[in-house]
Amino acid sequence: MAIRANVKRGSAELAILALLEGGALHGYEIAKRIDAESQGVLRFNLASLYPMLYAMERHGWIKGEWQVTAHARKRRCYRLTAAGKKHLAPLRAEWRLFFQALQRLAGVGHA
Amino acid sequence: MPDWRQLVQERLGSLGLGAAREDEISTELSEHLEDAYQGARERGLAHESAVAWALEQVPDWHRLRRDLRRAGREEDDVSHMTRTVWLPGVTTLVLSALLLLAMVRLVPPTLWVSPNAPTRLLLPWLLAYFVFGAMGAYWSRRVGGSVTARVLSGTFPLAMHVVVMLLPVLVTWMSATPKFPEHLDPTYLLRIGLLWVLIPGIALALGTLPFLGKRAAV
Repeated sequence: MAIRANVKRGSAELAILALLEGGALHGYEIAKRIDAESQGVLRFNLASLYPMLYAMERHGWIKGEWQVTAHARKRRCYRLTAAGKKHLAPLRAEWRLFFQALQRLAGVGHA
Repeated sequence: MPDWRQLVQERLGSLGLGAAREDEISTELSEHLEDAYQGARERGLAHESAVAWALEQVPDWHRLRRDLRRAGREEDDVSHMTRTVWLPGVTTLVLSALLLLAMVRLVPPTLWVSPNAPTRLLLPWLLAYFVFGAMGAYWSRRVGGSVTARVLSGTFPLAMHVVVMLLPVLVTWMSATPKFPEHLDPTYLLRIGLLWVLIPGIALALGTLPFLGKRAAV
């Protein structure tokens, strides 16, 4: 269903941008942190995460930079760009409105 | 431990994104698989189970390949631009061109020079442009256009106005014996610019205003 797909994609976009607001992270950390902080409600595997990261990078909302760890492993760390910060603010407001509307309609809200 | 990089390269094949970019993607994805494997091992899983756990990160390699190709190419941007700017913009342009053509064909010549021309011709024309501007911006917003895309879609007919204004100027300028030398007169250009570009441009832009405030639907 189109709406469900859009909501899922939109929520994933918000989750990634909001997470990167706290600092740069590499892909695996992003997936782990989203899983942990959403208590397993939002889950990314490799297949769902990277196409989204690449698309967001192409939009200029995030920027990936290679880093070499102490164990000589190459990591691509993503940070939020100025355009990403600018995109995040209305996205947050939009989702707030969305949840408020659902709350009014269906009693879906904070426990 | 599996050679994750080789595994990724074998399963993805060529993505058509260029060797350097594909190399980066293989490195990044193989590091992710390695992390998933190590994480599983740290949780006490045996080697085989940890490999299986890591491989569960990609339920469908064909789909991943397709998604990576789509995310890595400009095609999405192009189609997005077509959907949010070109289609609504060209439609408003065609409508405004048809309106002008109809006016030229249907309006009696006496009305163009009558004292009533501003109210009987100019005002309805500008009102129609207001509606075209609104239509372009509304269409663009409906298909997820940004504010810039909405403004561009709504004011697209201005491109035609600018071309129609500049073409005679260019022809006159290039001609050794210009037929209409006034086309190069700055006062004439200013007047035409005001009547033919600025005023309809304002009407179109005003039409877009009601559709600039809200973002496209989620």
